[in-house]
Amino acid sequence: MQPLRLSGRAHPTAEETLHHAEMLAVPDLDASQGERMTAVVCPSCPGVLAVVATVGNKPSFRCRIGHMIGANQLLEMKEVRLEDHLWAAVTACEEFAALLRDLQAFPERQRALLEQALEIRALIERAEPIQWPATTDEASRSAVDGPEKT
Amino acid sequence: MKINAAGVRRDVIVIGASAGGFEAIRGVVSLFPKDMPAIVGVVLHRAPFFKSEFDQIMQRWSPMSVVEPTGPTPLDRGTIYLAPPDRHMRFMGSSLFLDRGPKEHFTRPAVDALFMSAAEAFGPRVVGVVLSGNGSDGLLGCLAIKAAGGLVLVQNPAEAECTSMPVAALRQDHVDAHLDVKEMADVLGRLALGATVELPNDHGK
Repeated sequence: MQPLRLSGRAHPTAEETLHHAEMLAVPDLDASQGERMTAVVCPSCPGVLAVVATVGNKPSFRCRIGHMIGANQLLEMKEVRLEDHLWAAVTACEEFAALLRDLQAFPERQRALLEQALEIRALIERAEPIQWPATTDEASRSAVDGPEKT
Repeated sequence: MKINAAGVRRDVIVIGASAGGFEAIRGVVSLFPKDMPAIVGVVLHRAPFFKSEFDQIMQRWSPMSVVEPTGPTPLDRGTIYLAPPDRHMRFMGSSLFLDRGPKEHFTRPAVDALFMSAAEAFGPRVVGVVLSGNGSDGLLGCLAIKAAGGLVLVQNPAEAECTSMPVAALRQDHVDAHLDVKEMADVLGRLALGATVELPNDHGK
């Protein structure tokens, strides 16, 4: 992948967007020679994560201050964070609309904001987050389930 | 002490549980009769990102049929409806609906969502049951059930693994009785038939 020069456009071109999307979030899963930096934000703080170990093909991550997180839980926390951010957008729209209403200013803008909020609420409603399959391992299932009832 | 002195048929049972609720739910649903003449809704707080087999586990415990709905479902007596992970389950009209509305008490499914919707849809026919759990999810739902003329039972805090949810409900002075798990199914079965139930006085506040 060739590095792209920055353009002077307001928005990236399709090619630039694609280039950005192709950039690896986790460029190196092999932590045997020391930690490998990623371009992924820690779910618990503003730091970025490094791969600190890879067991099987599952990396474990750690940020600067020491939050440790496994690959599966990182994905789960990204789901939580994504939903939180979408709700934050709903709040921004609805609170702003209420402010415009109370100050009797820009009624058109107020209506547009409320419509946007409804669209984002619908996005959240339609989302189908990741779901790990139920364990099919008999041993671990019976540990949860206990003996069959008699 | 007597509960349901008016002899109203209480045939919509909603059960809420969190930490320590797994075994408590087992204790209740395993003693339900096969032909329990009630709609039963269950919310257990659980991890959102795991496909769970709790419905199948519950089906092995209970003679009633257990359903974990995947979309709008008409409510039938004799069936237990288990709220799936990451969805609130609400009763509306004579059906249940699932949604990804805002988490309540940091959880989805939430007990309050089910309890409040049941109170609105079924009024005095509802019995709310709060089992083991921490936090106060279920409290507002219990108040809504009482305000609509329904009944509220909680697990005896002396027996519950985690007491805050039953205690939060008890503190509000609206709970009809607290029961051991092993007493629940029998009392709920009789309430579903519209019987007045006589309980030892120490089961009140």
